[in-house]
Amino acid sequence: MIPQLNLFIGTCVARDGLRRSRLVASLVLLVLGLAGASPAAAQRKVERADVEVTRTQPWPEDVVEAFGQLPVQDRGRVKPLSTVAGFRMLNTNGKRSFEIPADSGLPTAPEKLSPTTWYLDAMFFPEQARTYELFLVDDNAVLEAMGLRFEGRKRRDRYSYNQLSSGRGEMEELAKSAFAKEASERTRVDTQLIALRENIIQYEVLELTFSGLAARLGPEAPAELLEIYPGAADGGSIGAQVVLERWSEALTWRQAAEGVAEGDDRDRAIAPLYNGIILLIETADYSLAMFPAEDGGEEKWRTAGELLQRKLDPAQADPTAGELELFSAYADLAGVESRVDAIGPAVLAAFEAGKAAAMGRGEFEKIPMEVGYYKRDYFTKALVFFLLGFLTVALSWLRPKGVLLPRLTWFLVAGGLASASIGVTVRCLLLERPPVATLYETILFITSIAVLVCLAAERLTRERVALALGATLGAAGMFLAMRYEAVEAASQGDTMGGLIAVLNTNFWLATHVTTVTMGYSAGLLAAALGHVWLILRLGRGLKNRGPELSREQAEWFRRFGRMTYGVLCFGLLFSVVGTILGGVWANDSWGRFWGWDPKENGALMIVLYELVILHARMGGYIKDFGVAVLAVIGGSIVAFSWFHVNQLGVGLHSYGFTEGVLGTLWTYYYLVAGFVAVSLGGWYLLVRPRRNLGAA
Amino acid sequence: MAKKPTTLTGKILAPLGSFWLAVALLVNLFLLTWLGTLEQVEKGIHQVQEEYFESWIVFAKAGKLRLLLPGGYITMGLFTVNLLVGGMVRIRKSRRTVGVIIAHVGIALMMLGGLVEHATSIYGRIALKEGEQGANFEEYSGWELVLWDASQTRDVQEYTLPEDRLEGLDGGSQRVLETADLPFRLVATRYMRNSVPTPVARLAPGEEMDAPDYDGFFLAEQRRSKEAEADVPGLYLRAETLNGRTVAESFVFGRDQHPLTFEAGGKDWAVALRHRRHSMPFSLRLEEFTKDDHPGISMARAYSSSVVQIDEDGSEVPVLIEMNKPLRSDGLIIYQASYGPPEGVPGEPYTVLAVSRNPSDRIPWISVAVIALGLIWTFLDRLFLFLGKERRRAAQAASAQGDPR
Repeated sequence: MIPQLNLFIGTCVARDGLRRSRLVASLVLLVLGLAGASPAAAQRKVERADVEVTRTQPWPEDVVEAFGQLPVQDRGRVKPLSTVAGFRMLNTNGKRSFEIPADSGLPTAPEKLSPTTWYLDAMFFPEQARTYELFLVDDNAVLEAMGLRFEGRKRRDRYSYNQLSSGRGEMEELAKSAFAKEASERTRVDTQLIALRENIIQYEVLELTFSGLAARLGPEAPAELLEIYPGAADGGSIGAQVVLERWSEALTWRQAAEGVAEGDDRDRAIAPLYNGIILLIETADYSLAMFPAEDGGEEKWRTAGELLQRKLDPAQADPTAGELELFSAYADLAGVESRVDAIGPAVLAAFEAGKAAAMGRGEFEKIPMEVGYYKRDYFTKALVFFLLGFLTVALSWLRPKGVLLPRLTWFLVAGGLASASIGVTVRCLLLERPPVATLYETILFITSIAVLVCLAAERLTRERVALALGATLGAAGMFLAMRYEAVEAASQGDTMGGLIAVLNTNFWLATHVTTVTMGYSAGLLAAALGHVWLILRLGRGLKNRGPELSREQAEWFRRFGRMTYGVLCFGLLFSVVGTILGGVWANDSWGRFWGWDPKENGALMIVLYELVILHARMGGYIKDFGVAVLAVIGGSIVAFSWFHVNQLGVGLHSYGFTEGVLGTLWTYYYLVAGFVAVSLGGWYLLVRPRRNLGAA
Repeated sequence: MAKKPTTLTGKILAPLGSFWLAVALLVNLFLLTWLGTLEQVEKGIHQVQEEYFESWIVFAKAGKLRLLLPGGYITMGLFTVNLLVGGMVRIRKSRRTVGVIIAHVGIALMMLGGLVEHATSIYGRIALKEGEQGANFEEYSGWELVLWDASQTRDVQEYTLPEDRLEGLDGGSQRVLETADLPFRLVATRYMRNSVPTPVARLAPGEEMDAPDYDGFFLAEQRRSKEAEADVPGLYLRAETLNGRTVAESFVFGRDQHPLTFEAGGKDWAVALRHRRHSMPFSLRLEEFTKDDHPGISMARAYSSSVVQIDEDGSEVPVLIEMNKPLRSDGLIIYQASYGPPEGVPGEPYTVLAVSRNPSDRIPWISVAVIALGLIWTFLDRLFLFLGKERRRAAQAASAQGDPR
């Protein structure tokens, strides 16, 4: 342990050449590690796609953009299709991109697909898209349970729809028994199987989005039927709305041969027409809601199946002319040839129709902004800024007197903060509410505040420590946000979903939630400062082989300690005010100020804990070392309050429950416990004052 | 921070206002909150609240251990003393401590509000269908015994007894309930906070009842539920004439469809257990309940009740009660709490309004302002102090290096 500690401290205070070279080597390794470089892994065998109809050229940009902006209503709000595709891909693939491998045998390979181009392929080149290995299976025990076995695959790997579909029947059986169990009794395999099944079903439904809107008659369709549906001549497609328009005539034609041998032929001829409609109606609850009502008073958009149901159900009003016109525009997409240059214009035409329908209701205005939000990917950019900032600040420690690197770091961290802040602001504009209503949003907000406080602290102290912390916390926060986005996407399908009634209040979101999360932010920052203080102080003790410090060193540690104390004071201010405001909100919505609900208790715990630290310091029971140790533990209390209480399954804050974060929390607690134990041991061995020496 | 005590009173008060006691109490309150929160998973909020925070001592569960800790009453009591003595009286009064004192005053005010709420507040609910009018609200978990003249159909006078007068009856003692204008008395013999009527026939061989049975049923005592609202009490009682003749003997159960009836003094009487009721100084009539879902999903983004408030003088005022926007009137606060029937369950729509009587309703607003003022003052004071020191340090460093600045 000690040599490692020595190496780490060496990175901070290295002076001699040897240590410098070790530092550079460490940093290079760090950067390479972060960039994902690792010893060459064995090349995974890719199955060559055996596909008849393939896409022979990339999708034109204007087509991708228009298709991505197609307005749909999903999970309670109108959004671009690219957002739906993004979350679907995130849920299915674990990330928002997919690369067609070079050796797939597909004409455009290698090609990087965005969620929108994946959707385009799935809808217009389904045979090809079914070969994409993007169904992420976390544990291949799920596949084994489905009776599937693939050689040369990792435990966690990705598979294509075609590969998985051979186990579809077994999957349904397993899912049936998994659903029969209580959620708490389901095994890991059960849970993953249910998630995989959901992804597969969603994929099957999305394939039908446009192709299901029209039907084609067989090559030997009777002339009488073609007279009823002239559009179906020569293999042409006819929209489901046209099928229904003249359905009574088709039915009369079919019934005319009832009881005679020709009846079976007519049944076969007419079957493609109604099979498509039945499928649309069966999937009405899962399909995309693409059809806004012409009547602006009705907020709900309809799926194709729901629109057809209205046509069939005499008790419901028939679809309006405008709705049928839009249906027809979308159904036209089903009839185009499977060539990109043929599909492109049809997509543009369909987009114009969809855009006009949404604009007529004033629901298109934010679509381009949302497309831009995901395209610009503010939080990944912020992550890159913060990582570069961390790198430059670490390098700047090699040249303590240099000014260029600290300035560069400053701009990088500020750039990261600006990028994150713009992302948070755009979310506010899109959702028309403060950006703190979900746990995902609180991660972004808390990280931004922590970095802002770091920059302010750096401005005051100019020690580069707060700057380094800003870069570290910023990077950690953005990374955590990305991971959590996937978790929230899996459970809710979007991170901008609708809020339950009690949360639909901008006043309280802007006051209670922002203040209490700023308190979290300060608590975590104090914990980070505590870590740094302890590492540096113990490192100095190790180097000095005892608790003695020079006057400058003692002063430096005292000032650092004061910074931690200041951040704790800042945190206490926001935690106290935020907690009480939470009580006042509860008083206005639930009729009681305090109910000992776990989320309330979590906030109170932070307040009490920070009060303990401040009173113990004021009473002289602890000094800077004690404050640092307690601040480090405080980080785990913030984590408990922020995430853990939501996992207890108790209380009124049920909107915050999220699956799958307990493991990470426990890992963090153990790490904190280990760090505190090592710090206390280090204190006893190295920096415990023996004869009133130095500050400890 | 505090002055060194010189008088005897000061020496006695010093420990009560000490930092040491403050830290110990804060740590204890922290432990109560933390362990209590974890134990809620097993016991539910209400029971933990009673055991941890509305108690003198608590055996707090810490993993497999049980820690004996001072409960909420001792902790909060001493905390108040410590706050008053150490944080407001003995604290050194100076520019540096103004913010701290203000913050302590705010906390004391909030605790006072909490005490008033704990001692005087009442919480309940009223459920109304559209067109229905009500002037009473029921407590969520509080119960009462009610007795009335069953032969009357209008202006029925009710005799009620809150459940706290029945608690402690475990079959070994009895409590006599009588008033001068009743021709009989009720003798309560056993009260169960949570119970279930059980057929004697369902007893397993060898299993014994610990309470008498009537008409083939007896009341089986149950463990308290995680949620206090789920508890349904039961009471064994008998009615006897003033000369001691028993006219009825049975049990009443909180969910009985019909009251226990008997005849005494030439009249029919009925007795039952029900959620404790309180009357309001006005009545409410529900005009319309509105649930506004997010489009396409069954998640309510808002729900509200359009009601008419009818005062005792008959004047009517239309009011809209929404989530986060309660009605405050005559010392009562009425909130939009819930609605029914649940999704997919047939039935007439109804609204559930939470009603509370809490004289300290507005104290948290005042206290949060005072505390915020105190903390901001303190924080800015410390910040300026820190900045001053940094400026001096920079100036010293500059002069040490011969910098002309």
